[in-house]
Amino acid sequence: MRASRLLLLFLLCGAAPAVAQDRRLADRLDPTTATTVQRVVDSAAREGLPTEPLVQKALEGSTLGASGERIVAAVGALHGQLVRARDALGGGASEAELTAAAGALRAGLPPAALRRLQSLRTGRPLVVPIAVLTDLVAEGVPPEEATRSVLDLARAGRPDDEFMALRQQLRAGREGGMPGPGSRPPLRPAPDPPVDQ
Amino acid sequence: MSRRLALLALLAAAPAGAAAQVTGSVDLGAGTNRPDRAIPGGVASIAPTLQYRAGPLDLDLSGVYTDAPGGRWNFQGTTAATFRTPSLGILHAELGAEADWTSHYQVRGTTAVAGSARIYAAPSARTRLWFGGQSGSATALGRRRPLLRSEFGTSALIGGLQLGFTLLRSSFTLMSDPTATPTQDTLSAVPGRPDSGRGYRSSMTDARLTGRWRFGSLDFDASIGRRFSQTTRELTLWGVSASREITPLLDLVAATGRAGSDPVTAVPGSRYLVVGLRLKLGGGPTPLLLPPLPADRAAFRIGPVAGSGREVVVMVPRAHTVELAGDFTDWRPVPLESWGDEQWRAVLPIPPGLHRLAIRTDGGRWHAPPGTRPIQSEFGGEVAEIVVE
Repeated sequence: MRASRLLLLFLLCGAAPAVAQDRRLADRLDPTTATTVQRVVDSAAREGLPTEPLVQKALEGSTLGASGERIVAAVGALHGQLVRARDALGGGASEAELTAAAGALRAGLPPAALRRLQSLRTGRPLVVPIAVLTDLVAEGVPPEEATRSVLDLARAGRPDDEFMALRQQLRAGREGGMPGPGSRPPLRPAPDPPVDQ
Repeated sequence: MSRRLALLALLAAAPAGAAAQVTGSVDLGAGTNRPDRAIPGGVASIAPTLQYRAGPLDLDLSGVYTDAPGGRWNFQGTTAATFRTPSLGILHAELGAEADWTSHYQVRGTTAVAGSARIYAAPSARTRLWFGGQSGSATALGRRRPLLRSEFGTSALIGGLQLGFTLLRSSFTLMSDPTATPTQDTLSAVPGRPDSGRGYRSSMTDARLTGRWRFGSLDFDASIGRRFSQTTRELTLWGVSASREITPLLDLVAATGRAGSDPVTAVPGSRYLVVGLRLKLGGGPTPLLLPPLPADRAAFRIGPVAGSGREVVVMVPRAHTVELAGDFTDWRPVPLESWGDEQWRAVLPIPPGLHRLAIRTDGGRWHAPPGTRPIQSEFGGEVAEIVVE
């Protein structure tokens, strides 16, 4: 009996916020949802994960009119993705990098691709390359091809601008569809003089 | 002089604030060329290209100078301007103007000037259909000739392969009786229709299947097509080109194929095989924001830090209110102010990094701003993710 009371007390303590509840959650979510989300946020804080993306996910749900249940599910899923992202990139990754990496994993990219990218970009921010990689996959480029293209740029030490240009180039290629009527391979020799028909 | 002024006017017409990008390349190649009605032999070519992209406006300049044995040389230059309209649902349009000219050793060259219009439909993110027309005038062999083309095309992205199919119909005027001098490519024994005594009206249709893909570090382009005509013999046209990056500024390139004659300017086709190097001329200024879609390049942008924040501008036609929400506003809707010309703006403190945002028009559903890639939110609406540098 005493043991079960102790267990109940322990659970209640565990359920209670470790830190003061984020005002934004309390203001924008119903009390039950706010408390549950806060619990996930506290758990992330204890694990050394960034908490702001979780708060923002909940606020996004509120603005988009989602139910409390969906908000809790989305915040829980993001928490899991941040854990996987931290496992892939290590504890030294910034909040922005972890957030971007979480999106990449959600898009179906393997953690190994993120680790490889990180090893090639030592000391340089990863946000843009990861965001571009995620974007390429989301736009239909096979993950292996997208990863290869991004890693090629990273291996060459290219700046963020060139990662952006890679995405632009791919988009332009698709949006443009086919070459226009006047386009020609630049290597094709110039034509000979006209011949009277 | 008037051409320079026109170019300046086109450059000035680029939307203010839209990120401009200038790219270019120079190809140096050597190989063999077998023209339809000229002496075959070895050739050396130099082919510069220059592209200017700003908002909905594209300007392209390209040329190729080819030196053949015996001091014979040929040059072909092309300049084109394209203006894209904003999207209307799955549709958008392109208006274009193009000038093409050739110069040759000891022979008068050709010129062709045309205007064009195309309408695109994008039923999905991976498929596209378009049709369009081109009308203009060409001068060749001392005579002015009308130029009229119509085109239908479709493309689809299947895995990593981009496949396309086009039908291009060209109407042209033969300046002499086509039954008189039949030759290999351009002529046959089938007569065309006399055109008021000035020539023989005829037409041809090129059906072309194209593919574009990347295999390892190699980029490939391939095409195969068939030319159908009443007055020229049927012909199979094809081309294959490949490039491989050697350094960030240098590519190894190769191309081979069978090009058809141009029925309007009467320049002959050829078989060719060329190998060379491509020197890339850098990227120029690059966008601060994620590069928008070509159809809506200036439809949404976030500027650099200025004063109390960054200027956010979104183009939304026929709206009474436009609101923006994102992680930089704690997802609280921020009303944008009307800024004329269908533009809405606000100045907001937005730190560098990856941001998630959405806009709402007239209190409707939240959606991704135009010109950004929509992402399905877990909550049912659409949002966008952007990188702010």
